[in-house]
Order: sequence, then structure tokens, then C-alpha cells
Amino acid sequence: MERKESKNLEKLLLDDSFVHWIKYGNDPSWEKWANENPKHQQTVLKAQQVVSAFQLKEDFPTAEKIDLLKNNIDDNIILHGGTNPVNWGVWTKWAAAIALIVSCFAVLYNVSKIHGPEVGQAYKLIEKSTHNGQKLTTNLPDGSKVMLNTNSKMSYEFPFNGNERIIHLEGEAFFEVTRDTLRPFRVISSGITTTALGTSFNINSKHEKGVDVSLLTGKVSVQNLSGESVILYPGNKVVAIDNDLVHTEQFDYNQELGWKDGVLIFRDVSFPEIVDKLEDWYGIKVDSRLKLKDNIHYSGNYKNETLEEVLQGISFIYHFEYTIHADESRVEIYN
Amino acid sequence: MKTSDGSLWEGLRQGEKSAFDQIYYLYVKLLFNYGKRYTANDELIEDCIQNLFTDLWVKRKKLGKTNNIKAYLLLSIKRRILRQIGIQQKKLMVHLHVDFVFEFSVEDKMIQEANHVEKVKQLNRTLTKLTPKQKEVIYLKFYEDLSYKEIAEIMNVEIKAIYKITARALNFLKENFTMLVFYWLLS
Repeated sequence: MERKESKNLEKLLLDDSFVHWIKYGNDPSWEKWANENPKHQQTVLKAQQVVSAFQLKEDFPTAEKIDLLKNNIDDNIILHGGTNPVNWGVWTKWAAAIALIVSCFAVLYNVSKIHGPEVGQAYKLIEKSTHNGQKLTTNLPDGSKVMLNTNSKMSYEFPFNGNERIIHLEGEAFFEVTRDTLRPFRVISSGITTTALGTSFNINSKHEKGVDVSLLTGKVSVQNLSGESVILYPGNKVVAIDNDLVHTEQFDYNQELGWKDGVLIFRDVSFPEIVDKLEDWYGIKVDSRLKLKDNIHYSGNYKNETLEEVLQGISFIYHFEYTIHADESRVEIYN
Repeated sequence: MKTSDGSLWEGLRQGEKSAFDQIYYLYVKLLFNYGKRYTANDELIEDCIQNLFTDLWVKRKKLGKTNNIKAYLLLSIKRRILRQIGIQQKKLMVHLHVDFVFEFSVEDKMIQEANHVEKVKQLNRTLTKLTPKQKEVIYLKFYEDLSYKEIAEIMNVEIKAIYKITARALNFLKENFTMLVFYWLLS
């Protein structure tokens, strides 16, 4: 303490612990020193003046900007392939019991709805759907954003019921959910319920094999009809086939989410699958008289490219000719 | 604060996403604010912040230990920003010169008198006469509360030199602030 006493203020300001104490307090040894001598208290007062003079103009980003940057970072992380493993529900039995109760309530709720909505509350069923070659971005009443892929349909009741936000989906959609911890956001698709609080994810029930749920940011739980559930972390994907939840740890960003950025993607697909996809994506009818010698599988990415450009790319592999009848939205493919 | 820093960092190294998220939300404002001392280009700062945190997670296994996350992140963002500014200035064929700019806040608690706005203006005029290094030390010490050792690392200067720069800066402020808040230093 002797050493400290001899210091004048300028020297004290060169001491880390002194400056820290002046700024934030909570340092018994300096407090003891200050109380030893009224002169020290004078010094402390001056030091406080100096340090508080260094209150600077701050340039902080907005809360929206902070979240936006965080989303970008989480996306980058996924693209770099670094995420946590899926936490499988080891509590499956308990979850099943809880789910059973939940679904009972759901039934009751539906029954009471048939008899008419609550007094003073008029519910309206809102439906949105897309056709071949058509995508739709829409906002929900809670501020969440939905991007509906081609040939898909979703519906919800407006306004949302007080405790949860329920969306029914057939087909494929990407959701950016506004955070609301008091009202879980649930998407029901072919018996699979995906629950989120505030997050972005993709659900695909377009193909016959089952329902895919891919999580981009945040956290969701995916539950089947038997009440088994799995928690997804960013980058995780779960495929529900016949009520079984099969998970892939890391999904392929372009394959699952490329559609929302305008990336048409083929991964190891047969020719009939290519035709289906082209019809779906461009809203056209494909008439193929192509005779294939062997069953070649094709892979390729097309970002924001025209039908012509895509056909050209594929025709190199399968050696076909094509004619586009734009007025009829029809394409002919032949040898 | 220092002990929780250690465990938070350890969590990140072990791959806990929640630790990573926490670090982001704890420090992102501070990093942006620090970046603004070097450049007015918000986008450049945002890019650097994105890359910094992406790398932090992707390369988490290669991270060393630290007890002061703030000092680590400030050093890291500074390197990235200066590299970017360097690349930009090279393109424009401009000799690399980066100033360190900050201002006192007009809302300062202690200068709330009738003429406080004028006083803050005078303070800020005086500040511009400090060298960039002096300004940076003052900022990192009295605003960010880093230790002189950490400041030495961030500025890549010997710790003895840091003490010297600080003393000189305080002395300069004392001489130029005779009418202002630093009047007491003369007494």
C-alpha cells in the first residue's frame, strides 16, 4: 500500500487494477486504500472524473442487423459443414406420453370447432397454393415468412389460436419463423409435426418417400404420429418414412434449399425424374419420345437459368434434340 | 468475468453451439463499435465480423486457450479490418494510412452544464491532435478497460512503449484541457 500511496493520479492511471476498479468498483484492496486517507478519496474522485470523461460516442449496430449477421454466420457455418450432431430423444417414451395427451386435446379442439368458433372469435381458414412453375412468398399474421415451392399448398386459421401457431402443409415450403417463445410454431405435414420457436427450416412432403425437414437456423423438434421426436440443430435433416424418423446429420444445402435461391438441382436422377422436375420447375408439359439405350443417372446444378439453357445441358448427356413450344408451354424431346 | 470467459471459451472449443452464440451476442456490438474507429464503411466491418465468427466456429478445434475473449476478438477483428482496408487502398494506389477516430459523447454525464456541448466540441478538437496510436491506447484502456499487456498485444508494441504512449497522451490532454475537465490534473 505504501507504494500505491506515493503515486500521483497520472501514475495511478497506468495501473490496470486501479482503472478497472474506478470503472467497475469491487476491489477490496483499492477500497481499503481509499479509506486509509482523505487525500486518497480526493484522488479517487478525480480519477472518476477522468474515466467518466472517456464516455465515447458509440456506434452500435441495430438489433435487426445483429440478428441478420448471426443468421448469415450460421448459414456460413452450415455451408462449411460444421455443426452439432443431432440429439436423439432418449426420453422418447415420455415424449410419447405427452404427445398422446396433446393429440387428445387437438381432437377436442377440432370437435369444438365443428360446433362453431368461440363467442366473439371469428376464425377464417386461409389457404395458399401454387401450381407447376410457380413459387410464392407470403407473410403470416405473426410476421413469419413462408416461401412455398411449386405444386404446394398450405393453410392456417386466422387469427392464430392464442397458444400456438399451426400451419398445415402439403408439398414443400421454407419457413422463417418470428421468435415467440409463448406461442410455438407448428407445421403439420403428412402426420409429421415440426415445432419451432424462432428459426428457419424447410419441409418437403412432395415426394412419395416421406417428409423431409431440414433446419437452417435455430432449433426445431420433429414428431411423428406415435409421438417419437427428434431435435434438429442447424444443418441437420430428418426424413420421416412410414412414421419412422431417419436422420441425416448434414444436409446438402443446394439440394434441400437451393430451390428458394433459384437453384434447380439434379442429384443422381433418372431421366423420368428429370422430366418430372422440369415440368414442376418450369410449369411446362414434356412430351418425350426419347429411346434410352441405358439407364444413365444425371447430376447438375442450374442457378436462375432458362429452360433452354437447362435442356441444352441435359441434351449433351442423353444426346437428344428438343423443340420448345412456348405458346403451348410444351417441350418435345426426341432422338 | 475472467473465469466465465475461460469456461465460455472452453465450451466453444468443445463444440458447444450455445457457447458460440453467447460469445457472439456478448461481443458483436463491441466489435462493430471498435471497427468504426478504423473505417466508416459498415459493410466492410460486417463482412469482417461474419468471417471472424464463421472461422471461430469452423476452426474452433485449433483455438488456443484464453482468459480474455474480448482482447482476443478485438485483435482478430482489427487484423481483418486492416487487411481489408489495405487491399482497398492498394487497389486505389493509395499509401496505407489508417487513422483511429473516436469522439466524446455529447450525452456525457459529467459535462451536463449549460455550455457542455461546446466543451465536448473542444474536447473532440483536442482529440484530433493526438496521434492514432495515442488515441487507440486511450480507447482500449479507458473505454474497453483492457490491461496494458493486452493493449500491447493488440497494437503489436512493447508494453514499455504502451506505458510511454499512455503517459504522453494523458500529459497532452492535461496541457490542452486546462479549461476543461482535466483542470484537476494541474492541481
